[in-house]
Amino acid sequence: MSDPILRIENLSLSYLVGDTKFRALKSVSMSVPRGSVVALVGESGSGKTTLIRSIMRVLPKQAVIEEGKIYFEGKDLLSLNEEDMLKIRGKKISMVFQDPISHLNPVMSVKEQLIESIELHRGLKGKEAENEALRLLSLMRLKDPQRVLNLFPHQLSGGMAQRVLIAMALASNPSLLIADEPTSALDPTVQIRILSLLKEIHENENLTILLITHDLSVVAYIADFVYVIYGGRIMEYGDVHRIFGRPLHPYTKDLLLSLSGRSFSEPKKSGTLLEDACPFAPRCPQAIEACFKQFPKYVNLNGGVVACHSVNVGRDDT
Amino acid sequence: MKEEYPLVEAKKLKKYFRETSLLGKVIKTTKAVDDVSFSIGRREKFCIVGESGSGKTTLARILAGLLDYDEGELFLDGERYKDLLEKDRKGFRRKVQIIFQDPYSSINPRKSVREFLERPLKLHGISFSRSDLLNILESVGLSPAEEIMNRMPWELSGGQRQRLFIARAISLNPELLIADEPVSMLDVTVRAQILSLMNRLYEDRGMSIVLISHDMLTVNVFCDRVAVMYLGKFVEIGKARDVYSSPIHPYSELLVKSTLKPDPGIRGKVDLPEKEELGSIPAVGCRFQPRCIYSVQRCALEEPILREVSQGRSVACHVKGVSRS
Repeated sequence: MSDPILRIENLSLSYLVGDTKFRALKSVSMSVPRGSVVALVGESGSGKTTLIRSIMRVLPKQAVIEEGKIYFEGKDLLSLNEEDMLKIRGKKISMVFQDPISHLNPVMSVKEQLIESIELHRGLKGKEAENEALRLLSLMRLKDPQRVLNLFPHQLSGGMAQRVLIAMALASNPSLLIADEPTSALDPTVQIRILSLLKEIHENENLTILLITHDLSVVAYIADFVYVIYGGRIMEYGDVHRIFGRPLHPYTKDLLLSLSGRSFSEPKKSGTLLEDACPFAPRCPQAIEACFKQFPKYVNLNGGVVACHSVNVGRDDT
Repeated sequence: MKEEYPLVEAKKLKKYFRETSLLGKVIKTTKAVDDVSFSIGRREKFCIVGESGSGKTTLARILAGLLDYDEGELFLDGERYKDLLEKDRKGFRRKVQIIFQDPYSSINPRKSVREFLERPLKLHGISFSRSDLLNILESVGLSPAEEIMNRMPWELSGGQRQRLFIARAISLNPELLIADEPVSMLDVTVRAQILSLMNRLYEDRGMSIVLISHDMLTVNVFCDRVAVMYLGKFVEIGKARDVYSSPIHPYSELLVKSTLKPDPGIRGKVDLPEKEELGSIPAVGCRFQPRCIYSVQRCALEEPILREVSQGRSVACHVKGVSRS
């Protein structure tokens, strides 16, 4: 993968609560090539949100980055001062969130919020800014953008609000859009429209998208490349067709199986694991003794990269 | 059990919500459930599918006896809901139980798992032992039961909470279990686990299940029969498999086609059978007509009624699935 716009190297992060350390990310490396759609797939508690927060540098103060680097367009984000970070956050890297209504200001009209963003990032003023706002809204395939411009957030449906939020995210001409579960709060008929809109923008504007989701069917629809994360560790990554066609890791297989309403993994159990253990081991039907002791090395296998002991020793019999 | 009756029968059920002004003048009426008729058999997994605002949760609450209906009739085992609830509310509760969508906000944070489980049993005067409680917990996959029993709700994950709700619901051995979007707030792998748990309990206990969902895929995987609901009306009823594989009503078709297929090989341009400009709900005619690409003049004038188009399959549409007669 040449010219990654975003590269994360060996990132480890813990939350410090009192004297107790909670590991959120462990040795996470990933790379987002320019002009691609990369999906980060994982369930709640997997560290997805922590990872985005580290990229945007909006971590709570209990978070301690233990090691690792995040490069965006060649710059090491973790070593930037706040002033330089402001030029990237919300400008070069924009975000779209799961719950659009709660990310809009309820007492400002769409026009005010959108124009604020355009004025701030693009330096356009007055009529020019308004025209740009209209252009962005029509890009979002909103019917009658002039009318939408004068609405307030409570007058928008979920789908409309998400379109407005995407328009705001694009107002700064970002080079990377982070979409955090952009459709999981929406009805299915609206979900597919928002996804196809994102895809259209990605193709027409050559926008790089980092998509965060727990839903593999969303991934199948839009992503080129997939990282599967569990318990703060990357379990497997590869091309989207390979992930769906020949999944390697038991967790990936379980995610795929669960799309048809089945699951072979055990319910999550409580109890502590060794810090180096594979976090999926307690749920894994293929777990062997080694899984509870040592996190496996990443290996290249069948055109994919995976970290799993049972795959390594050829016990993969599913 | 009175086998000659279906477990649940609804006849022309209506529930309208009226917003009134300060002086009591009705300013807005929402027809949440509007003239809906159906029946649910014993040992049947019946689904109600629709988008937000379709009235499916209102219907679930009515079926659970949590909400009164305005008009029409609803029977459980051949007896009117209203009579049952008046005469013997507790008896009704033993027969009908409900699980809610959000396992975080529907649990009392100050009661332990044990107290949470004991409460219905005590209320209904059912004697139980400690090992009964442990068995119930084990049967829904909450283990180690000994340890879980003394936990407080905040120590449980979403999936565990939903299992706990299921445990409490089935501890009374209900004949009907209503599950209102029980998995939509859970992670995908946990969703599958909860659905297979419900399926197993269904097999073991032979109760009927009403599953409320917005997801056609879940419906197809879990249910025997499905009713597709749109703005308070059933627009299609049929076998889940048939409706999923060959939907007849334009709205069912839209729902099925919006379902994302987990296959990166077939992602194409979306070609949804839907008009994008959404008008307001028409006062007359078909409610789906403003979104419908098949609509004809008649759709704006006359509301279609649900008619049987083949054995066990009914559709409310002027254009699609018009019966041979």
